[in-house]
Amino acid sequence: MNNNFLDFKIPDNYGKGIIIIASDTFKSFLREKRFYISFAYYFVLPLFLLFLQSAELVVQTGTGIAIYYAQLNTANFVKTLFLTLFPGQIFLAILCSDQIASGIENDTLSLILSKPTYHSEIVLGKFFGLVSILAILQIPSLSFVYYYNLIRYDADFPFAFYTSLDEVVVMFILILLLQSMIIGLTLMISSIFDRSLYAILSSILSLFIISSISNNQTNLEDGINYFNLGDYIDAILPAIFFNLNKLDPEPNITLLLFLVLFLISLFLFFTNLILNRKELF
Amino acid sequence: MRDNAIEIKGVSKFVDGKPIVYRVNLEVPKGTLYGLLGPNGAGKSTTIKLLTGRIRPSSGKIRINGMDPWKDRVRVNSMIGYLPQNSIQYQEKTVIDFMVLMGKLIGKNKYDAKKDGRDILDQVGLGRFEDMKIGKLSGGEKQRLGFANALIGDPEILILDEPTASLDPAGRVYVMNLIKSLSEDDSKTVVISSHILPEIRRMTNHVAIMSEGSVLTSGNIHELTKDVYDKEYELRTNKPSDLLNILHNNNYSAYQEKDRIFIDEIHSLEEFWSILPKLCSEKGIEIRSMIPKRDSLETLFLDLVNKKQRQKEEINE
Repeated sequence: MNNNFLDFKIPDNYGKGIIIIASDTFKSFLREKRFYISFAYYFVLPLFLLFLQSAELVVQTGTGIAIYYAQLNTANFVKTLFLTLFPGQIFLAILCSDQIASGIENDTLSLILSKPTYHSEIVLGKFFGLVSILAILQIPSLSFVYYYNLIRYDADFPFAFYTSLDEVVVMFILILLLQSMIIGLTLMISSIFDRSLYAILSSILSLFIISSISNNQTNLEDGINYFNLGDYIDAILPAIFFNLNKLDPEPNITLLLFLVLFLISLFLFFTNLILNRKELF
Repeated sequence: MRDNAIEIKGVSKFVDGKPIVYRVNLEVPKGTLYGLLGPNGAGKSTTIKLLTGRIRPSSGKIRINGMDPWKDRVRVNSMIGYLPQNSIQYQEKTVIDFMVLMGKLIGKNKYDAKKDGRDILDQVGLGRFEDMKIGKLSGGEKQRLGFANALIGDPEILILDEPTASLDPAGRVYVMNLIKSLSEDDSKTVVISSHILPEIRRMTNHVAIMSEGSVLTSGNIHELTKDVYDKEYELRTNKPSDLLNILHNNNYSAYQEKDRIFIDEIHSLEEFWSILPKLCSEKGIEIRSMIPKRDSLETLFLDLVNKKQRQKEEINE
């Protein structure tokens, strides 16, 4: 008899279900109207913001300062983009939070569980499926960030560096990680409820609560609030992309990545735990 | 003696302190067609959900081929096919995409899942709907699709919750024949829940009668009903009014409905047959048929349910 938890073995064929469910979640979303509404939103938003951006007067007293302002202006654009994306976060909650609850509500989860599939395969499959969807949704916004820079600053500062493609890729990964955190949270909330409407409302509410708490109370040693999306834009993104610190302390990128990954794992772990103990009446 | 595919020992399920299933004991031998029969709210669907590991028993033990469906859900589900009571709600998916998804979840590759899916769809009469969206199917077609899903992977045990519930009469006959054909394979065990007695009679050879969460009796239908017969009879005759008069004159409680005569209770069939033929031949009455009003399983079912009801009333008093 195996009593030692260290002898835990991953079951044979484990993992196939993750790929199948992720691909099914992804394909199902591509067929849904809400995906196209979200896609239109993410696509139109940068265009809209571009018109709202006022050109910043740069006094060219030195190349360094000019670059600084130019890059801060870019960061400002990204920030505005993100702040306006708060409705986008609500979109995100609506997109993700009924994934498990609606499965319980309309018995589709029961059908999947009637096949030899582990709860964790369902949770991870849904998670990766949603992350892939969000990756697609990010592409228009980030493409815009890239071209916006090219359009705005290339003519004025031919020698200045603008947001390069690899920086956009890093930004893409970072944004995806942050949004994955929201997906993890909404999946966890979704697994608590049996009705999708309750799951969606609770997810939106929890996003508001987290935003409001994080705005005030969660500053860490370096003075950066790692739970606050605004701080990412203000302090961390400029630091990553432009080697410029708007805030004095050096942001701890390792800590940021660790926190994000830890929170994602925690949310997914609890989602799996809740689902494992859930009875499907 | 056959081994048991399913064993339920002293299983209860309480929801909010209320017993939905109470001290249920059942043994389902391998290779049988087993019916769970009972009125609405008898605990049939809850028992099925317990069997498929969707819910956990509050007490007692369930074993499917020796495994606990709650703890070993994945292994148990690799050997069962399950048809839930509610129809399939993947509205945007096409029928064949759904079959491929379910086939892939049991470990088939896409090609095999599609090929087997098509074969099963043909088997349940849905072949021509494979490219249609599930949301566009009728209730009966969705029910058939659920049945097709249960057949994926040729499972050893089939658990079907109200398999004919949303079907039209032709669909019912089709599915009943399909289920009946499964009994030709001795290795397959089928558990069917239904409140429609003639269907259980037609589809199964073993039955458990449930009421208010308890199993009132269980076993082989022939053995359970061998000494059970209804005391009410239906007679068809050429002269119903004359026959009714004869019956009333001989102190039988009877009534007429169109060309049929119903006798409420015959205590002694021997006495009945010693009087009636003689009187009928004198009056020129031809008795064309005489059958019990209810079949033996229905009689057993009603006797047990009424007895349970009486016991409950006595306790309440």
